[in-house]
Amino acid sequence: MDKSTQTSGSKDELHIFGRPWTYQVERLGPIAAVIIFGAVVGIIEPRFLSARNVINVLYQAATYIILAVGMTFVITGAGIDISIGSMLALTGILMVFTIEYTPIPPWLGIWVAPLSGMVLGLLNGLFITKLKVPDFIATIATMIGYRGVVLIMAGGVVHYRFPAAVRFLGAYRLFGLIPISILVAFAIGALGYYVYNNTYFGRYTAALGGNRESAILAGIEVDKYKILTYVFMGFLAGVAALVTIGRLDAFHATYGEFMEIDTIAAVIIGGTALFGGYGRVWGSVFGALLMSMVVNGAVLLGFPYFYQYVLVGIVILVAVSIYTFLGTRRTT
Amino acid sequence: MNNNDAPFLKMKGIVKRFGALTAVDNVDLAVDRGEVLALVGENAAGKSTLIKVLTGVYQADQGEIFIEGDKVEINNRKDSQKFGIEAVYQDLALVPQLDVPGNLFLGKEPPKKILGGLFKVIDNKKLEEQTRDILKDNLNMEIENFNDPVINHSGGQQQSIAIGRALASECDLIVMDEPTASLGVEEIDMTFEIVRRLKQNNVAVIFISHNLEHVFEVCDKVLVMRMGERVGYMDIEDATRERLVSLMVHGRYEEEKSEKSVANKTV
Ligand SMILES: Nc1ncnc2c1ncn2[C@@H]1O[C@H](COP(=O)(O)OP(=O)(O)OP(=O)(O)O)[C@@H](O)[C@H]1O
Ligand SMILES: [Mg+2]
Repeated sequence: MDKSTQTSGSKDELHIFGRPWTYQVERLGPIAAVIIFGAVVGIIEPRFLSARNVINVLYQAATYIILAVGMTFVITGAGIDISIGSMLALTGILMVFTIEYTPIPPWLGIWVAPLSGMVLGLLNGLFITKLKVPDFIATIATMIGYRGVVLIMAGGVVHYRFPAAVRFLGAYRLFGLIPISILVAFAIGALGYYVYNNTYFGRYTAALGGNRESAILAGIEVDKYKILTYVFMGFLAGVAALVTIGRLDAFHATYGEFMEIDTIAAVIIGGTALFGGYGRVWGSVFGALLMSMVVNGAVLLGFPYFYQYVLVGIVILVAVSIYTFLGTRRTT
Repeated sequence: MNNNDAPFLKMKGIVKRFGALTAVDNVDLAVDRGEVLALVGENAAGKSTLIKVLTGVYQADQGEIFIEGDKVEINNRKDSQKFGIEAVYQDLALVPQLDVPGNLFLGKEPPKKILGGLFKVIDNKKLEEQTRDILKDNLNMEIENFNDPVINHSGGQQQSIAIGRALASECDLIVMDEPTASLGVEEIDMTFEIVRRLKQNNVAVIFISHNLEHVFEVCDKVLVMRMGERVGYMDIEDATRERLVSLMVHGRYEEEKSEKSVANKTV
């Protein structure tokens, strides 16, 4: 019986630390890109690596990191959430109204943002699973609908000067230096990584995104986990609202516009497969960071403002080309 | 009316239609613990459809299912799992991006409590241990690189993993739909080995195959399907190659005057 021992089919491929080299490149790619980009720009323009600028870049990135972690789960479950910017604004205005117009104390009122985000995400998930509207269409519809509610509620008025509880997450700095929002963003990254690898939610999200039929045959309640990805996304949109509103100490009805594009870009740069089944949480964190660095670096290097769009576009294309190349190798 | 003489599984008068097509037409089937029943028939005879009714993937339009003599409802995969029914599907039903442990125990990952029992998460360490055990003891498979996505593994290995999936849980009945289709000679022997061991352990097995050699190798009884209907049912001792082929192709066997009456004998 021993001589019939089978060996693993991917044995012939070069393995580094027990994993195929393509996997290692995928895994380390986003971090490497952050380091290399930082070094190159830092050499040309040393101000880029000054403590103040580094913190500034991280500060800018925090909102996108938080959103990208949630989007990683949605995309891994073969979904997409176009409504995140509108959810950010709607959870924000719901929180602002609660604090401004009700006797609820601010430290309690801020919870309205993440909690209402969960409800909005739940609605997205129900439209998709129960009404069977494709993810893309359903969340475009709610993107428009949620934004409409924001405009009805807030009008053109800017709300500002919020109590300390609202500003805490977005504006406060640990030891007067490191913004709390950065720490929160990385903590959410770490939590997301743990959840992806260790929880039933994470595993089953990957399974249903990878092969829905197989997941059903394995007895997995695919709709439940699909809905949960959107609820988690909504929750994080609410957290992102707190960070954004706190940082600017203001609210305007246009908050969050176009954020879905940047967030999806960060997730794709990070190595998550756009068609589901395979997510990279830390990749998304560094993808979001890289986008912030590109935008900030472009400004420091004196590129005219609109060039940053072109640069971000190039980064996305390069990243996707590399992953496609590695992915092709992976299946051969 | 639990009946000790009743076979583990009995399916009676199963009908499954897809629109105008009757994929399974009034089929009876029975299999007992420690028995290997072959299900043979040409392409599109309705074999896979019949077992998908059994595992709850499809709902029958007519017919009844009995487990140990009790009539049961199987409306989804969870129901069939509850009755100890596992299946190796023809299309394998793996998740290509998940690794070997992820696939072997998909839906059955060992749990671990964290934060003082507040949350239940996957015990990945135990999962890997269980994977090693299954691979070594049951599949005789070397365990190198089992954290690679299964799509990185060969077709034969994926098939072995799919078989391992069914073995990974305690069950009373295993359905294997074309388990040997993409296997090499050694892997086929391993599959026979597994079937024999299941039989010894008093598990009921339904073995679907196009390869009659394989049927003669491990099966105790044969049920022949043709165009959705059951056209033959016999002990393996009474089966010959010619008889089975004739039944599969023509639905009858010349030297047998009343095949139909044999087929309709209560099971
Ligand atoms: N989901 C479905 N929808 C419509 N028709 C189906 C479906 N599944 C199976 N059929 C049809 O039912 C008939 C029986 O198919 P089935 O897969 O059960 O055959 P089979 O005996 O398993 O064949 P094979 O040996 O090729 O696996 C075929 O004509 C097939 O096209
Ligand atoms: Mg079939």
